[in-house]
Amino acid sequence: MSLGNTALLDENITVETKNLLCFRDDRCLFAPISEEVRVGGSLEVKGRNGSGKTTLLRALIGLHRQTRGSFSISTSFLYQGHKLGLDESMTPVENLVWFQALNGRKANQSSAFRNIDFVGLAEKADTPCQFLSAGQKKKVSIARWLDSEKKLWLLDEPFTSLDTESSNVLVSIFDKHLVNGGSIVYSNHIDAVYTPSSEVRLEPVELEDLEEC
Amino acid sequence: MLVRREFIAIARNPSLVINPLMFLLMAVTIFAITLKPILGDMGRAAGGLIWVLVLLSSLTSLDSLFRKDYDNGTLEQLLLGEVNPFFLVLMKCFTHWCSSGLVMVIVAPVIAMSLGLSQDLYGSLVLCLLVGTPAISLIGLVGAALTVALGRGGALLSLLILPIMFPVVIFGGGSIDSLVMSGEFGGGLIWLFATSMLALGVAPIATLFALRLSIEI
Repeated sequence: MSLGNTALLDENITVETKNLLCFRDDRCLFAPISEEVRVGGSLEVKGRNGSGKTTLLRALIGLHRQTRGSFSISTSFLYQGHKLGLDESMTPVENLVWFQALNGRKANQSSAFRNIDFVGLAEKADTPCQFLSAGQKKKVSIARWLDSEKKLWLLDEPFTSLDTESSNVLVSIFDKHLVNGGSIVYSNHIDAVYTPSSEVRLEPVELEDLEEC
Repeated sequence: MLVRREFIAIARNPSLVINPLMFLLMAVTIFAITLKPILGDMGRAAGGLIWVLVLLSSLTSLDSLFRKDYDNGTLEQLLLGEVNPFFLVLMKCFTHWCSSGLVMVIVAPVIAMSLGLSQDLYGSLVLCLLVGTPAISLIGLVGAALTVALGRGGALLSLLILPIMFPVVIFGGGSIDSLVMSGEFGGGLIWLFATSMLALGVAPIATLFALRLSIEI
């Protein structure tokens, strides 16, 4: 599975961008981004609200087409946007089983329950998601990543609405994924929850600078 | 599993089935109490009426077809997942048809009775609706996919798809009319079937493109 408009030469690089710009209604959102993420590496996308963090992540997976410059993704990826992708009328376990089936795996109730338990939601496993709090819903979405076979995780604000304890659980999940040869690109606006191997700050760009791009 | 989820979703939210059905039965009742005393029985008007009412009541459920999935982000996950999105679109269409078209096919004899259609024609009416209602779901799917990103796109959705539905109503109404007149379908049923088949060929592809457009915002 590969996305983007350049061929990658180095097998160890999972995401690469060269002078990537994203536009929205002809407005350039941030200064050019040139980054690469290696196997076992993580990239934190920082920036104030509205700086284009979400747009950058969506551009990488082909959901935002107004771009300039080049980028590519060389491996299977998992995307988690602001919208968590949970069906409100379904229980956490049902949502996980659905996600397994959607990603071509055999539906497995017991592993779904195990993952729900891992993020600390065991007692809510059979409560429809509409009765869960924002943080609990977030945990359900995190539980879905646990048995994912996708190598690259692209996560939009994964730490938002999590309490300290759950943030620590997420950090350990990140570490485990990276040790297993995965890589992570995530956006964050909260300070120092996780120490990524590299980070990029999205800076607003002036009109005259843009002429050069 | 994916298909099962769709049916579970419908089962937990029965208004998706009940609302269009109640709309249909109410509208039929209104026609029955206003026109029937004047006309005696609907005669040749019944065919057209039945199809117009079935079409309008299907519209009431179309707007919500992708709306919930779009709002909660499952639509993104569906299109990014590893299952062929073409299959997912067909699945959506099938479940919509089961929850609206099929239900209307089942209550068709009740409608026919209210409008004073002859009893011998009930079977043929059911067949006619069975052949034609998939076209309504298929064409409606395209409109729902196009308008899902527009917030409340209900009115626009109707404007977009009603003109494309004309053949369904024309051939559907025509075939019931020839049933009433001569007791046979004539060519109407074949054309209705052709419309459904054409929609089956074109609509899923168009829906897929429309959904991609809608989530690329």
